[in-house]
Amino acid sequence: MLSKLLKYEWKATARFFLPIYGLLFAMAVASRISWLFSEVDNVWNRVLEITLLMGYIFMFGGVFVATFLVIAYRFYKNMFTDEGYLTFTLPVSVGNLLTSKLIIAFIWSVFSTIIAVFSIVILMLGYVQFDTIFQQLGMVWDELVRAMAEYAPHSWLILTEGILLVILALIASILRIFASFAVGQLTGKHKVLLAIGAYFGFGVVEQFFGLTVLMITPYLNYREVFPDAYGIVTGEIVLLVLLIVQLVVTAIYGVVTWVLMKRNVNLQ
Amino acid sequence: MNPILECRNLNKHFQGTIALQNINLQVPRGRIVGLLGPNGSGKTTLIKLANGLLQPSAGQILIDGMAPGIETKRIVSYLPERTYLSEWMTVRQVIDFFADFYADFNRDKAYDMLTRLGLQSTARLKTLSKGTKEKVQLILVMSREAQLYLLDEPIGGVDPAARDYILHTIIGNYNPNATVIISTHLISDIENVLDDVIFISRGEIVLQSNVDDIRETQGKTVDALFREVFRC
Repeated sequence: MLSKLLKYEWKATARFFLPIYGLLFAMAVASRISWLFSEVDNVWNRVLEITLLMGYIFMFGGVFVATFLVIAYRFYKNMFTDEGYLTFTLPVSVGNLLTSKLIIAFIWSVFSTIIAVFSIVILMLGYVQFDTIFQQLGMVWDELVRAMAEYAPHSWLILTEGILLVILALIASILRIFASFAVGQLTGKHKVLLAIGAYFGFGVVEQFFGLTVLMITPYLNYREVFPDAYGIVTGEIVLLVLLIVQLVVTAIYGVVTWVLMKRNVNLQ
Repeated sequence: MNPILECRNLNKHFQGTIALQNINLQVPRGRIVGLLGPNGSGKTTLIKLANGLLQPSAGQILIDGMAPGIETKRIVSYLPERTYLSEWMTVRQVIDFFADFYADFNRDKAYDMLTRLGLQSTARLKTLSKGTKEKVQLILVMSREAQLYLLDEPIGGVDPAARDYILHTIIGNYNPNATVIISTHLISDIENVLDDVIFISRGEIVLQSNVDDIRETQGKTVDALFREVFRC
């Protein structure tokens, strides 16, 4: 059933994302084309260039705002409006429902980032010698591989920890949206308003604990606990602490959403 | 065999107001049951509880002996009193959707009914009128070979001709072991198809009876009895 849920979740969200990405590319291309005529010294030419560039920058930020909004809108609409009458009477578990929405939201978030970076490449076409850039990137890559090998296995551990941290943070940011709506629907009235309140409430709590952890970690005496700790090992431990904290935060959002949706759904 | 629907001391209240009070009910299999009551009597609340869209405040509601969950959703076909389909989908897409999720969905039956009611499967739902959407929903719900059909106001929004066709479909198309519960206040329209009636008033069951008994022992139609019981 999860694969079917994923299929429909994908269809329902793709119809928003594809036009958004299309618009971003269109603005990037239009902006880039307008620069082809920059030798023509004309006020309107300048106005056009600036307008298109501003439009592009606006769309660039817009992609991320839209990603957030579409994820939130889809979740609310599909769960807590009239559509919820169908969603909650499908023979699927709440766990599967949430997993499908989480996976698709995660994929779109990653796509939006890739697309945004790619749009910059479009804008720079012809201005930058890509072969030199690739050459330099290749050198950086070689250097990186060398450094990774030199500091192995510590380097691999740190890299793994870093990637996991980014993935978990992204999952937590999506689950935070879900948890907010799950809390927001508890009273039955003012669902959206309460969800927005819950979202900021979660943010404040998260900031508080995040800052506390950040303030404490430098003062911990690692050598007492890990007598062999030095340099890179300290980094590993700090990252591990952050990873555990992030895991706890992510799990809390997930469990809160799951429990509320399983036990307290009251569609009115 | 256990009853398809059973309520044991079922209570539901919403922030101070009592929607259902101490409901004890057993609905057997193979019946067409009218759940009748004035507006706000608790018909929709009872049906939503049976679908797991609301959680009981106290007591139990059981479908085929089970609390509402994945297993009961497989065997219950529910028509809510509102339109729950995604507006951006076409009729064909929602048929695929139902076929994907409900193993008991009969695609041929759905297309057959669409043709009979003159509906286009390529139409997007947002282009359809409210009454047409209701027809599409009813077709989807009745195209399942479920054990329990919960129809909340199924004929309220459609024209009398379609109403006849729909009622005909309900009695003609379902499996004899399945039970259909129809909530409505349009009693005279459905009276002839009902086997049993449940009268509900202010969150309490005031009568559960066989339609023939009402006619024979009281010498009245259900509609007349309803007007008598619920006289304002």
